[in-house]
Amino acid sequence: MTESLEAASPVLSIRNLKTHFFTDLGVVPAVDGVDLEVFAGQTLGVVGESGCGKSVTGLSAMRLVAPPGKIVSGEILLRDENLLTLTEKEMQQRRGRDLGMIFQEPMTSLDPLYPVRDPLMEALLAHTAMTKQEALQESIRLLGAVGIPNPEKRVNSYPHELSGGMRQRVMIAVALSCKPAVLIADEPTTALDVTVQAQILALLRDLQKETGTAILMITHNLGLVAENCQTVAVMYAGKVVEKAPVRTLFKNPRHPYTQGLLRAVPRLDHPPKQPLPTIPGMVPNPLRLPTGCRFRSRCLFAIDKCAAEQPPLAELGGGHVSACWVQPEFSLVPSETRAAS
Amino acid sequence: MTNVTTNLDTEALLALEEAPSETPFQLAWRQLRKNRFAVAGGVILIFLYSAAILANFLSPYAMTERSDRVYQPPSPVLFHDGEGHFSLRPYTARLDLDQSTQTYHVAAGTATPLQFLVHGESYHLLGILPLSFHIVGTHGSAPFHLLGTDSDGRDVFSRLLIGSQISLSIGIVAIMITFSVGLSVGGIAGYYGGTIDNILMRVCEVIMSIPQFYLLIALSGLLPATLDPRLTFLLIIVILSFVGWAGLARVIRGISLSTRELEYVQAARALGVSDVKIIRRHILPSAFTYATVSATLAIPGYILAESGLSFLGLGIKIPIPSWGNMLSAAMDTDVLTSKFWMLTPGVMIFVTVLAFNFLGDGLRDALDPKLRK
Repeated sequence: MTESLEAASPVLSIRNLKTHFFTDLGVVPAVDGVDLEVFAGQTLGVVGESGCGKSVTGLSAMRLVAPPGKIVSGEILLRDENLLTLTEKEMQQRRGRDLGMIFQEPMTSLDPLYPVRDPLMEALLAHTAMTKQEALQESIRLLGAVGIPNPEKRVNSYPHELSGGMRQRVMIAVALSCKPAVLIADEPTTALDVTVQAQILALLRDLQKETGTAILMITHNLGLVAENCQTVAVMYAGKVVEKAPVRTLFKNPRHPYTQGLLRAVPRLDHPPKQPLPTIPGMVPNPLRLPTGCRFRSRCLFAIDKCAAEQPPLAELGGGHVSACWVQPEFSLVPSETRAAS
Repeated sequence: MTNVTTNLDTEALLALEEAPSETPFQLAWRQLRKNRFAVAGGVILIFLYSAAILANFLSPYAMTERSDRVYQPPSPVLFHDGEGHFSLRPYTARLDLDQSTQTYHVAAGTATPLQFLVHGESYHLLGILPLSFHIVGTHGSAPFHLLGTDSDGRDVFSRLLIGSQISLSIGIVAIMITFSVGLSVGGIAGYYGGTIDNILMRVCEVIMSIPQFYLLIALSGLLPATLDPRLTFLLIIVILSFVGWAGLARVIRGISLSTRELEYVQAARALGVSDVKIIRRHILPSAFTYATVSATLAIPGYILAESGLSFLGLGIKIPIPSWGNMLSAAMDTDVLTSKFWMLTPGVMIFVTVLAFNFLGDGLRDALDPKLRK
């Protein structure tokens, strides 16, 4: 009974998070009221185009947003503890131990000066009571667990002696070394080639099965989301516009932006020599966001109400929410409604 | 027996496979050894510093021991016993002053063999080991002044050796202070940024905006003349470092600012590594290359600054010798033209500065991956 209760409550929940950047030109609301939950053993995908605030959301969860960025309001709950009320010192202890993070660039995420055992042992020594010898043994075991051959030897290798895929494996080993409850993976495979991508994601899935870690996967790759996530949140201009279990989202997206994204994915049944459908227009300038719905200037379905009022996330059943006044049905062929306006 | 070669090949391959990773330090060392000038500079410096450490043992006389032989030219080193018989053991001879011409001449029949490991003035080697042996000296009537004597009849060679202790260590100690202050201030300013950075950098600018040599003269002018020479020495070091750290801190701050943005620094933060540890282990090492090179190139500056101060009579006070105040004795034209041995401190400064510059250039080439071949 207790177990089912635990399974039902999220490990990490972000509530009404607002992270703003106070630049000389004005305030940029990079994250503007985001709600997300990640459950143990599950993966939440956060997708959206560049600049939509998905990376800042991840960094906010770690409280690693650098000035001029600042978390303005909201709550980030790790189980029941609000991370935003902790002191920097307390937060430092949570990082690495309860929250792990993998970055986009495996080529530069390891300090070239130190052999790979160094970051591993650094984490273990900082957060566990291990002795140096034990930490070294554990580092070797971890390297083996992420599929690095000959870990006894590789533990002494320098980053420049490893390939990009190997380095990302090391980064995963580092991030998971203290068995964090939550792993934030910020585009973990963007810099890797496709075969290595598949290996890394399979590794993450395997490790997740073993440890029950909740993963917040930040990506712009919808294919990756389909294969790896249980739930997906789509972000646009600092807001979550649609959130649904992965199958629902792909089958029945209700937000025009999600629909546009899905149509832009190349498909095998796409008519040859036809250009891929795109979403017209550009992401709005974050310093001058439009009133009402932020997507309306690019939306095929925009109505007058969209300019007047921001649509709330409307409950559609089965954990599916979408922030749109119209909630159009999805078809792969873009409709021409916009031509009338 | 038949497959000896195959075995060797496999072993070679295994050895290659097992070859340990080269640390950045090993890599730099390998590069440095290829540079002949840097190696020469390094060897000269090792030689000079060893001589400074063993100065008491190597010097035949005490630094303050006076005689009435004023401005005696260097004693001759002869390879005969004064009667024309060749001898492998070197001899020296007494120089006597000809009152009418005011010049020194070898006095006939005074040839004396040089003695090695002779008893003389007692001293403490390295400050602890009580000894009274000196590597070279003479018994009897012929004193041995390898580099002549100065205006008070003191042995220049001995003073040069003792003076090197001050002149050579002043640069090293000053650079160590500059280095640690500059690295800490620069690292903190660059890593934290914002207000902390602003305050620290404005302080640096204030210090840098004061004309340096004027400040040095002003500060050392404040030192009372009766101060313990050891204290004077320490204060001069502090003054030199006080003036020197700001420039280093500014460059380190710039390097830290750019290093802070690197992903491995963020990765370390995401691991919960403390700020102090991040600055020490991830930020400063990237500035270390620059700092090492600039330190090596800055040491000659400190040696010259000390010489300059002492030359002006504001540094180390006579009778304690330093290369700077010894050189100030060679100021007038008479000494410059006819007492060439009085210029040896200048030669030593020149050689030391050049050696440091060679080594510094070599270090820069060895540590900069862009210049590696």
